[in-house]
Amino acid sequence: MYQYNEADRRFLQQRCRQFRDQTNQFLAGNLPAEEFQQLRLRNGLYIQRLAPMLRIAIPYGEISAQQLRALAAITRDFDKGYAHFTTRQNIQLNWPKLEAMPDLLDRLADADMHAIQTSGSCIRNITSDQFAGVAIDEIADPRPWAELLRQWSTLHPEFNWLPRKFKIAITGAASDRAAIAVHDIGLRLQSDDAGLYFQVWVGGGLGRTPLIGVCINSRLEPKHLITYLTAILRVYNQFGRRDNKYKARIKILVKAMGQRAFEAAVNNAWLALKDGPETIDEDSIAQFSAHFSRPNYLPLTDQNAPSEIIATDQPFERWRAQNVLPHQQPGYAAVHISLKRTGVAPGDVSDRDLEALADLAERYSFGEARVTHEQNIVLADVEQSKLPELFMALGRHNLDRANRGLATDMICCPGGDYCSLANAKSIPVAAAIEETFHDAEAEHDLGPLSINISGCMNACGHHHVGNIGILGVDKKGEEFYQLSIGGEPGEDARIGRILGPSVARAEIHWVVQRLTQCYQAHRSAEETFNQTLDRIGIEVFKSAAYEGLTS
Amino acid sequence: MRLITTVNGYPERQEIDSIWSGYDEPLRLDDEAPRSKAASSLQIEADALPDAFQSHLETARLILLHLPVFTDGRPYSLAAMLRQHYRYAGEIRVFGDVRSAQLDHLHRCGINSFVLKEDQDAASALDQIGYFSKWYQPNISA
Ligand code: SF4
Repeated sequence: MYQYNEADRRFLQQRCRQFRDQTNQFLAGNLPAEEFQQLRLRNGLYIQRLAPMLRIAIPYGEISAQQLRALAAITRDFDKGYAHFTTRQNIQLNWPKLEAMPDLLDRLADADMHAIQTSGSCIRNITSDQFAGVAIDEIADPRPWAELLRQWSTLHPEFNWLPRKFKIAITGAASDRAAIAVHDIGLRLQSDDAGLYFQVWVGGGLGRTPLIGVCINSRLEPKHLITYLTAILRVYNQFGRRDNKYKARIKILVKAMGQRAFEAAVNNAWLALKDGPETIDEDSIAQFSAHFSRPNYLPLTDQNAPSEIIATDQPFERWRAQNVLPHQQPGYAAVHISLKRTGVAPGDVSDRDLEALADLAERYSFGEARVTHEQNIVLADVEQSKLPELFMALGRHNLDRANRGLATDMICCPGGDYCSLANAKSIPVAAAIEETFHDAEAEHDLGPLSINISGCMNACGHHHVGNIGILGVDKKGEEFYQLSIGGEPGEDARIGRILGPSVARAEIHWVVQRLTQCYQAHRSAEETFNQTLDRIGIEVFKSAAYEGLTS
Repeated sequence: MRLITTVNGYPERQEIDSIWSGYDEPLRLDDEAPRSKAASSLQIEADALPDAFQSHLETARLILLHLPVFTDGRPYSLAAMLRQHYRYAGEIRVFGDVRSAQLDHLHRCGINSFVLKEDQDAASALDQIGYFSKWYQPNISA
């Protein structure tokens, strides 16, 4: 993973000192609240419903064992001993105190971590594929480019005051696990005879106006990545709407201008930048790539048979089938660790969990872990022969649930329990659904299914791209939920369609269950939820959901 | 965009470290000035389109760039474009809601003189320039 050098560290220390000054100025009454708000947002600090909330960046989801331990200690010393992984590969603390923030940021900086640009109208954390560098369908490792973009976007002088937040995702694999089509900019590494290139998508996004991005450059030479992105941002900074925050994202601009005109404006802005000083030379590509070289793998061969010790152990077999993924390196596997556990809010971890994950990363995966946008953890480089041992160790920490991609692997925002923007709670809804699908047998029979829950239109739970999407709405002060079905992230991204009238909290999990029963009753052999939906139509699901079973 | 021409020429060229505390008013609004006349100083609003005033850039020595509110990012891009795209080498002076905390970024976008908002402290504003010993982007110079 990327290793900080002395200059990076000094930069972070200076940033911390600057924020300490600003906080002191604010607390002394010398900095107006509206100005301090903007400055603290750019250091990750929101003021939430119950307390401030701090969002800490985990660049493209990659984190070391030491950093996990530092986070564990920080949650103990500055918070209530737990934290929440978000859908953008970040981690949030729910109860830090404003006065303690400068010390907290210093502690993060000691671990080469920060909260820079995790909120505010600027370029946010760059997200990527959690299996980068190990996925068998990978064309090229996206991490060197993600790090390059992280650095480029950090305190970028021109793009610190954009019309609205700006999210960039990058993937280098055939199957898109970074959901690039629903980002402000989505980048896809491809290659052909002439070498590597990027496909550049813009204008995707969820929220109030969910849209799938459009491809405005189908073959961008990698050396032009920064100048081309600068051109996109420049057009957006200049023409994006600033009069209405609901119409301020780049997707609205792209739609209003039309794809062709937007493309032309970008190309025009690019003229002044192309081949200029920010063109990426071979040397720096090599330098960035060197940070992501392959770890010291042992010369192993793939194992087909699981270890004899627990060959007949059914829970292990189930976990292996569900949570263990193939790896580029013979004899290794990538392991998905579920943070969707009974009685725990989706994506939440305690300080003990973080330390356990740090230990396991150290023991089994070269001291590194990955955070996924589905709010889970990945150990990317595990020896296949150690899988049974790892499974048992995970079990001791309640981290062994075999539900990757299944109904209980829900994506869920913090909702009304924490978030001041919420219309409704989302965590209790997730808990009720979890209870409904608690039976592992039944859940496996049901098969892959994505359920996404957001507490409001901001769509942090990405409800539009869930097979079943749940959105909290406010009906005369009561919590209600609107359902949509048929959403899909990834390379065939699409937005779900609204099912019908919203339903009360007490009923939402029953409606979800009736939808899944409808799917099971109608599906043919290998059909996914969306394939069945496409074949039989939304009306069948609608009547099942609202009137009971149809068959 | 508003085109403004001065009555008595352009003001002295200011060096980077020169900061006016409070609003300095060297210019006269002259909307009646014929558009074809070469301007020596231009006032540019945040929503201005550079193509519209491009023809004046060759003769201009001073560009007054308006930052209507400190959260408005457009003047940053305008300044960067003036330098990179239009190769304008004269003075770019930002005025409006200019606060100390922003000076560094404004400066790094190629702005080389600043009219600070009245209530801002000039000394601490100057401290902001060069606060960081490293940047991850090249600076745009005047
Ligand atoms: S979707 Fe709404 S309620 Fe949920 S975290 Fe985002 S802003 Fe808050």
